[in-house]
Order: sequence, then structure tokens, then C-alpha cells
Amino acid sequence: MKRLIILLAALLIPLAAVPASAAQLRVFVAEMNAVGVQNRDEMKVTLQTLLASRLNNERIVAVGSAAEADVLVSGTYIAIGKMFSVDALARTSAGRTLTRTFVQGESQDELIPAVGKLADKLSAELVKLYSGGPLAAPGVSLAPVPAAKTEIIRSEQQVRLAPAGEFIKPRDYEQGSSGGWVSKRLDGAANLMATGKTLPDGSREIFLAENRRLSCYRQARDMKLVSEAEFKATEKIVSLDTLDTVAGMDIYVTIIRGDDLASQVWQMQGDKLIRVAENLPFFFRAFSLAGGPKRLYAQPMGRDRDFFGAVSEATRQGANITLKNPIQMPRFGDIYTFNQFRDSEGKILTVVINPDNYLVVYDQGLKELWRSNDKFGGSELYFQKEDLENARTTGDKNRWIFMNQRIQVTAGGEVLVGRNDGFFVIGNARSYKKGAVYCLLWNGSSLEEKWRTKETQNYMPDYWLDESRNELLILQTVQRPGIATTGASSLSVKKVE
Amino acid sequence: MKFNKKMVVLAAAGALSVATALPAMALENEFHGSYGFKGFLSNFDRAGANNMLSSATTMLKKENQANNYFEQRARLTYIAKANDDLKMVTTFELDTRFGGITDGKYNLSSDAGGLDADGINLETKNVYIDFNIKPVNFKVGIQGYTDKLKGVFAGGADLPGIMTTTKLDALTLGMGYFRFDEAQKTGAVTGRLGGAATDLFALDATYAVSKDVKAGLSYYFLADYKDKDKLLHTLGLNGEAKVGAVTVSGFAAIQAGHQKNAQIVTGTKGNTNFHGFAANVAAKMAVGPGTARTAFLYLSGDDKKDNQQNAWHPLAGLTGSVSMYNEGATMMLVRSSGATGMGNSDDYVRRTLSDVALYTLGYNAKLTPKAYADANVGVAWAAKNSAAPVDKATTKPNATNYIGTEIDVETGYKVFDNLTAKLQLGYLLLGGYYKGAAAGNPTGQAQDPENPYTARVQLTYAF
Repeated sequence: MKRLIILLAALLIPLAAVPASAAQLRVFVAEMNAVGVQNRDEMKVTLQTLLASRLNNERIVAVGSAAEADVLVSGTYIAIGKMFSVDALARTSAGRTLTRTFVQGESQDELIPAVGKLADKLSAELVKLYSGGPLAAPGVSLAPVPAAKTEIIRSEQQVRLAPAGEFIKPRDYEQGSSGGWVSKRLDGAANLMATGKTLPDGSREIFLAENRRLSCYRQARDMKLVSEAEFKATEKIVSLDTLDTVAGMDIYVTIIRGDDLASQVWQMQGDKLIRVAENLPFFFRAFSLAGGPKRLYAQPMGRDRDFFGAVSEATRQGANITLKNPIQMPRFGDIYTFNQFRDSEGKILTVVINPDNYLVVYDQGLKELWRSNDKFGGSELYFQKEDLENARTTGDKNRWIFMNQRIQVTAGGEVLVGRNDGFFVIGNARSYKKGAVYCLLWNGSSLEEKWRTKETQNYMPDYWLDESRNELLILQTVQRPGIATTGASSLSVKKVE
Repeated sequence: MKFNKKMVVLAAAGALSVATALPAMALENEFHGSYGFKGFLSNFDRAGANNMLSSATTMLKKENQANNYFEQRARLTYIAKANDDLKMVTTFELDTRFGGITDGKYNLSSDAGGLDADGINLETKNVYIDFNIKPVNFKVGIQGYTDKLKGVFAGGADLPGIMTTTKLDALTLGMGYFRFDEAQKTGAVTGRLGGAATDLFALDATYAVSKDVKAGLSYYFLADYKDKDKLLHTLGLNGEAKVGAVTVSGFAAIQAGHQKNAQIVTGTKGNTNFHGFAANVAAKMAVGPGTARTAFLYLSGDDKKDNQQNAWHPLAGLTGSVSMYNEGATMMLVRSSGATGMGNSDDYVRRTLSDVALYTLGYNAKLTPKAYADANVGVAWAAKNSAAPVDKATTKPNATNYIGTEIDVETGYKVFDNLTAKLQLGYLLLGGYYKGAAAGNPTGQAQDPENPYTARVQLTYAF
């Protein structure tokens, strides 16, 4: 009884310090990890429920999703013999550690009271930490961030936390709402996406490419298919980009035919896709280098090297491509895996996704400065080149060359990169399950996460941040192509606040 | 006791916390593999590794019953990558013929093709480390190596050794040393290790003149002190260029060297001198819904009249084979290892790549994104007819060099990106080289051997 009084007192003292007008702290309790217990899955959910309901009080409200929460609690239940320990970790939605605490007991009978104690301890700590001022609303950086000592490397067993500055709210998923939008199911598993013109009625052209099909949609309240073009069985589309020119919106379709490049340029003329150039021996990509104006870049293919030489700025005159201002690639860099950004002193740094999908940052002398600990990128899109020299070793007449997620750099110097995670990603058999877009910012020594989107429930083949509208477009494969089906996609558009 | 239990819980909790706080594992694990299933109906393929139609045991009779059999081959590669500049590569192979094999290398067990499987058939193909000390890449260990002569000297050969590759802008320089035979290997011979070994020194220099043109120079030195001090130099030039829509490639190579106290002509004395020659030109271009290809290969032969060995000498010698020619791959004429599908069967008219001129013309059509059909015609001649089979009517070797014309058709369907189902049909119209040489007939009763054919169904899965 005495202990209970002390506990209550400990809980009440910090609560009393909170101004009456302060908003409730939103806490999300993630599914707990359970080790050394028989009904592991059951136990995980039980513990989550127990802790969430016991945390709920006058100052704390336990919310149902990470996206709504200011604080995320994860934990582990460990049982050895009759003994058990429940350890909990509270973090801000930005991932900063707030507090760690634990309780332990000697038999299962003590579990429920122990979870109650854990909730009390956590409540006390959290209320104390946030007693300095009103609680920030979700979506805005929490201030002040308490004295978290270090970032904790996330464990797969812990919940993937939604960071501060999370701009995706549940309402974003409601079709037609002002904040977010999700298309209906679109026929065909598109690998690539590019945005076109914004039309006078406010609708926007969206181009999608499957392996052998280019489609133009008009996105308003719905996605309306306007025009499409089929390609030959010998051709495969490996990239899709758009560039607004005085002659109209050019759609650059990089195509591999046989072993060689045979890229094409298309335009929308009226409501029809019209090919204006073909058999161009270049890989194309249109992007904003270092957050500058969007330009077209090209890189040729070599006899041995899949991506040959420097990436150059390209201009088109009819079917002629002129190259200028070559950019030397750092190690692992090619037209599809690099971009540049400026540091606080204005120096240009180059960022690349390497073949193992780590981000690598190079200085102006192309010397490596930093590389990520987490993997990013990941694409199921590939092209093949005949490789008879290694056919006996690989059992395959062809070599597989996988594409990767685009790296987009905003005018503000933020580095956006897609990331797919997969249950089965081995060698050339790739099957990603979920994806997210990460926004990173160079802090002088490393790229630090600024925000990330909630993970999609499907493989994310491509994304694009439309800076003019502050909208993030995320393409998802909702059904993979099968033996007799072409699969399906969906597009979601999220407002960036 | 109570204290101890608590300590255990705390220690376990602590250990778990540390484990979860650790950064991502430093080692990247990469897996690759392939699986090939083949079903055969053929009077030619017999699940062996023979130079077919070259001797009494491999010659076809006038009428033959077809072999029917199934086999599979799986290869598993595990790569332990410590960082961008260091990895270990291991590849293992499992071969099985349905019904089983219990002799040869399987004599202690089986190849798992029998009832209840339980075979011991895991083979080592590659074990090596691959590391970079910029700008040089090193591969040290048992590794695959293919020459820059489209594999006609050493193609897909797995060898223990050290290979370095240096990239200096447009120049790629490969230098390697391999040891693949040794007198001491059985333990029966006494003497110093390395004193009677077979070594290969390889140098491959390739220069990318532009994105569309590359040229190379190769030098291979085979020092075989195990086999009567055989020293063989091979010098080759190779190139590839894209001219408009056509990709042209080719090579030319000469050989020089000698083998002490070895004679081609029985009863003579002295050394054998090597003067082999090889050349190739190939072209391919995208036409219609596919790719048209044509190629010509010449590998010199020997007239066996003196001790000047004029035949092209592949790495494994004039009877073995770790060579291949995958340009316009034929199913029966010339060994095209890997190009016609993976498997254990390795029977070809020219399994040893030597003494042949081969012209091929083919078309690979992509019918739909998932279905394809290939057609290929190959015409072959012996470079020299000194080894021509004997016509049992005249009891003399046939005077013509014309081996025959092979017609191959293959059609396949990509069930998934990584899984392809194939049907292959090949028919070889034998030429005058085999006139009256049917096996089993006594002298004076000459019959032509039956034309070889092969029909194969295949499933290949590669990842």
C-alpha cells in the first residue's frame, strides 16, 4: 500500500506541474516483442493492449496509429524460466529517444500488475519531459526535444517510427480530400512515372510506363486514360522522363532493344501520343541537378560497360542529340543512381546509390565523405545484355542490370530517395513488398533523415516530388503481372506541408 | 538462487538491448543460383562428355535406338561481402541424372538420382576472394576464367589461381596466374611440389576506343611441366565494333611452342612443335522482331604427317575440353557450353575445340514479351581430314572435310522473369566425312551412320 501511495505520488507530482490548459500527449504503443514465450504472437498483442490502456490517463491519450502520435513506445517482453522482464523505450515521432524503463517479475501472475507499474513509470517520465510547455500538434516538430543522448539504431523488432514533420495524415488517404489522393486501380503494372503539363482546368498529365506500354493519364478527381502506345516485344522501357521545352512537353522513353539502346521521344499532340524521335543511342534522365532547373541528361552504353563515360547535359534538335557539360561520375555513379546537392558553404557534393543500395556522398574531388548505414533504393526493373562469356558460370545467357530509385534534390537542398523493402530479395529474383520515400538533409557530415512517408503496402516502383505543387506522387504496384495478366498499379498524391 | 535468476533476466535483457542497438551487420550476404532440368530423346546425347563420332565407341550405327533420360544441374553461389572492396565468392554444383549414377566420382555413394536420393554430390566450382586495391582488382582462389578469344582456348574454365584486373580509364588490363595440374596430386610421385606442375599465365588487355569500339590483345602461356615439358604460347587479337545497326566482333590467334620428346608420327624421335591458328568473325543486328546472327569460326587441324602440330591446342589439350564457342551455338557440332542450357550432358562432335571450320546463320525471334523462337543452321568442315573416319567399303579414311549441316530450332516461354521453359530440336545431316563409317559394320559392309538428332525439354531457373 505504501509503495502504491509513493507511486501515485510520483505520478501526481509531475501531473500537477502541467498547466491545465496543456493538450494531451498522444502516445502510440507499438506491438511488443516477446522472447521466450510460447504464444508469442498472442503475447505481443496482449502486452500492447495492456500497456496502451494503462498509459491512457488525463495527460496521455493512447492513439491507434503511429501517424497520429507525438510519442511512440516500443518494448520487449523477455521470459526466462518463471522470471520475466518488460522493457520499454519511448521515442519522439522523429526517432529521438525520450526514456527507457523496465519492470520485472517472478511469475506470470505478476505480469498485469507489472505492466501497470511500467505504465506508471512511463507516464511519469513523459509528463515530466513535456511539462515545460504546451504539446506540439502532430505534424509539427516537437519542441523542446528532451535530452536524448544519442540516436538509437532501429531494430527490425521495433516498430518503424513515423518521424517528426510527418506530413502524411490519415485524412490524406481519403480520396478527394484536400490533403491526399489515391487513384483507382490502374490496369498494368507500371514501372515508371513522369509528370506532364498542368492543364487550364487544374488537371495534370501523368505518364506511366510498363515494360512495353506508355500511357498518358489526366489526373483530376480521377485518373483518366487519354492515350497509350504499345512497344514491340523486343523492346523494354527502362526509364521515363519529361521535359518542358518551347516545342512542347518532350517525353523521353529510354528503351533497350536487343542488347542496344533505341530510345524514343514522344509528345502529346492533342489527345494523342506521337513519337517524334527514335533509335537514340542514349540513356535519358531529366532531373534537377543539385536542386537547379530541370534539365535533360544523357549517357551512352559501351561495349563492355553498361553505362559508358560521363553523364552529359543533352539537348534535342529533331532526332539529333547534342551533349555538353559532361559530369564525371564517382564510383558506382551512373545516370540513374546519382544527383548532387550543395552543403551549407555552397560546395557541390554528389550522392549515389551504390549496388548494395547504400547512399554514398562524395566531395568535389569525388572522394567518399560518408555512406549510410541503412539501405535505400531498390527496384525490380532491369534490362538484360547478352553475356555468353559467363553463360557457363551463371547458367544464364544474359547479364541482368537492375535500375534503381531516382534521387531527387529539391531547391532547398533536401535529398529525396525511395526505398523498397522486400521479404525475398536475392540475386536477380527480387520481390519487394513495401516502399517509402525518405527526405534527407546534409548536416555537414552526414545525411540526416528529415521525414519519411508511411510505408506503402505494396512495392513502390517510382515516385516524384512535384515541387511546383508541393505534392509527392507515389506509384505502387498493387498486382504484379502474371502469366496471363498485366498486373495493376495505383498512384497516390500527398501534400507536402 | 533468486538473485541469480534476476541476474540472468537482467543479463539477457541487457544482451538483447545491445543486440538491437547494434548497427546493421557489416557483412552483406548475397545469393545467386541456377537450376536446369533437361529431358532428352536423342540418338546422340548419352549423358557423357565425348567427342562424338570420332571413334568406334562414339560412332553411330546405321540404326540406333534413342536414349531417353532426364538430368538436372543446380548451382548455388553464396557471396560474403565485407565491403565494396572485399568479398568471398563460393559456388557449388549438384548434378543428378534421374535413375542415378554410382560410378566414377560417385562411387562412394550416388548422385542422388536413385530411390530415396541420399546422394553425396556436392561439388566445388568456385571459392575465391575478390578484393580491390585501387585501381587493381584481385581474385585469389578457385575461379572461373574465360579467355578473350570467345572461349575457344579456355572458356568457362574453373581454375585455381590469381587474377588481377586493372582499369585505367579506357584500358582494362587483366593478368592472371593459374595452377591446375600437378604431378604430386595423387601422392604417388615423390619429389618437390611445383616441380612438375601445369601453370597458365594469362594477359588480356582491352582498350575501349569509343563507346562503340573496343580492341584487345591477349597472350596466354601454358607451361606444362607435368606433361613432357610442354610450353605453349598463344597470342591473339580481338575486337568488337558497332557499325550502324550491326555489331561485328572477331578474333585471330596463333600458337607457338613445343613439347619435349613427344611425337605425332609413330616411330619418329624428337619434339613436337606447335603451330595452331584460330580465327573468328561474327555479326549480329536487330531485324524485325528479333536478332539475326551469322558467324564463322576456324580452328586449325593437323595433317599428322610430321611432328609439327598444326592443330589449335585448347587449354585442356587435344582430347579434353574446358573450351566453348557460344556464337551461333550449335547443339551437336561444336561445344557451346552454357549457351544451349545448363546440364551435365556434354557430347559434341567437336567437344575438344580444334580441327573445325564452322559457319552459322541464325535468327532469334521474340514472338511476344514472354515467348521466343530461335532457328540456327550450322555447317561444319574438318580443318584437316587426317582424322576422317574410315569408309568401310574402301577401307580408307574419307577424303572430304565436310562434317555435316546441323539445323536447330528452339522455342521457349518465360513462365516468370527467372523461369524459362524450352523445347529444343536439333538434326545433323552428316556429310561425306562419315561416309561408310557406321559403327558395328564389318569391313566391306559399309553403311553410313544414322544422322544424329536431339530433342530436349528444359526448365531453367536463374537468380
